Amino acid sequence: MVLFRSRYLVLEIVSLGHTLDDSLLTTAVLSSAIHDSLLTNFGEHGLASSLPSLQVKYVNGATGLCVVRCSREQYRTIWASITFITRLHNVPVLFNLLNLSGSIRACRKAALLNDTKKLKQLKLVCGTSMTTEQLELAESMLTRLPLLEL
Amino acid sequence: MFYDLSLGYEGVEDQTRREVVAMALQLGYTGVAANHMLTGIMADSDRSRIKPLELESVIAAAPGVAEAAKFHRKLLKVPAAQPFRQFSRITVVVEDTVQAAALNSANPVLRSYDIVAVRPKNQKAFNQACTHLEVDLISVDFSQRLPFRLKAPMVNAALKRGVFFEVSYGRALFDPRARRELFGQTQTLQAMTRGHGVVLSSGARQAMELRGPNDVINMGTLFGLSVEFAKAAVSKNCESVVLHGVARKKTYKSAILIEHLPMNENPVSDKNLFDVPSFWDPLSVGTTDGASVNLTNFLENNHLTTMQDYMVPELDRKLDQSPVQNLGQQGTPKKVGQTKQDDKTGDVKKNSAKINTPKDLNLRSEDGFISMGSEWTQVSKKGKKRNHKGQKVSDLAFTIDRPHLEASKKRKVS
Repeated sequence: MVLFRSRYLVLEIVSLGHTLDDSLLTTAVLSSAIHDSLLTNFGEHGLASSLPSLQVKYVNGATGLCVVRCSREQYRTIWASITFITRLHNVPVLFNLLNLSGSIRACRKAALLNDTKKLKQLKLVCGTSMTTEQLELAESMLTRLPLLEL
Repeated sequence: MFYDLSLGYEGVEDQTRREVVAMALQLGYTGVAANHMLTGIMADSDRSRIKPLELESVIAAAPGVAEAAKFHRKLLKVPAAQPFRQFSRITVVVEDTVQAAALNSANPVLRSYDIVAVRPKNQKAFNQACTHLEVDLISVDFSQRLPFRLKAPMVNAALKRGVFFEVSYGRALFDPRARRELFGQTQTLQAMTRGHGVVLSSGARQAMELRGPNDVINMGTLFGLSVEFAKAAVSKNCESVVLHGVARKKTYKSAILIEHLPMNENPVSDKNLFDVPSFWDPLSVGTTDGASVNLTNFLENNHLTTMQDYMVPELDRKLDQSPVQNLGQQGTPKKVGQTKQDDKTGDVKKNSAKINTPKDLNLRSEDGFISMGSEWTQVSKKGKKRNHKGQKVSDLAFTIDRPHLEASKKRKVS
């Protein structure tokens, strides 16, 4: 019997027109945004009860894919507070859930699949205007994905 | 499959409107409605002037829309061949009896819209809307304090008549005060309706006010709806609203339809008596070309540019060779015995049959989320399939190959 059950949210960050500066989109930025949103929407109690389990596991700045871990009891409130985030670094964004899974293995699989697809889309859209740094960043983040652990 | 029945229309620039529709398409919605708000007395000039946007212009509104739409549709298990529909909708603000009297089935102005909604401003108007006004939707503005009380007998009367209640979340995303009201009021609505007959929509005036279907369903659970009801609120209930609108628009008193029979056929044959009317495409109501364009051409033929044109060769080679890619491909779940999901032809009659079957709405009782790995089945020694909780499951559930686990077991044995 497992005492602690977790949920893994694979989300994507969608922004329209404006592009986020890739290097600014990090785990620290995202987790602070989630904390703020939790505090405003669910108060001190909501924040405190989800803090121990809440963890931003992975953020790919170029493709906008991120992985958030939380406890099974709290995942709906955390998910909702992520939905209520409207701005990151003063750039209007919206979060969209791609996958929800109960184990790190399934999450890793889904995240990999979606991140590769998103990278392909990115290349298709940006084409030649994409800088090499951007590509390298996306690629280096992608190689980190299989190493995701509990 | 997934609908957003309220997108802003008045005072929204064409380009913004295109962006909003593009975002909806991108997030995996299969139908949107442009909303015309009507305050004051209805005149003949209020006939629908809402034209469905051309799909080409929508796809050109933002980069990579077609690709993203394909990607999200696959995740949401929406067939790529499912057409993207655009409806016109009018919301009549009702304060007095004169405005209420305009909402009858004979009104030609209302017949020019696909969906008719009412926004009651006082108790009397609300009671009228619930009991006898000829509308498809009751749109209560939950983002501010209600000027009336939601009373159980009235709400039940509305549900009995097949009129739905609309909750729109767009404003609440940006305005904390509106959010507070929304959560409070929707809980009362849930208590009255017990989750039945609710429609969730965005009311978006900019692209950023939209949210993906899954996120909206989750938001619905915060309103007190259960997951199934929340899912129905963005999919099944919206279809019912549209169908209600079609019945109101194309038939006499939502019941009688007069059809011309072809002269050269036997007038009392089974075909003529029992077939679905030839014009009857229940979910495509618009008449101009843009109304119900089949997306397949845009999604399948990769009309943007071919992938190779923009590939960066080195990175691609690396991606193909890396173990990353292989792992991803290996991990795709195999569907066993799944019902066939789509009719590629997009046939009218098949579509109409589709709505009645709950299977097609992909309702899953347990969690209602997209899952790739959380549901799996095991074949026990007796040959019965059981899921991870030990419950029997049908063939409809996913099975996932887990060769690495089996390999580790073998190692232990040896």
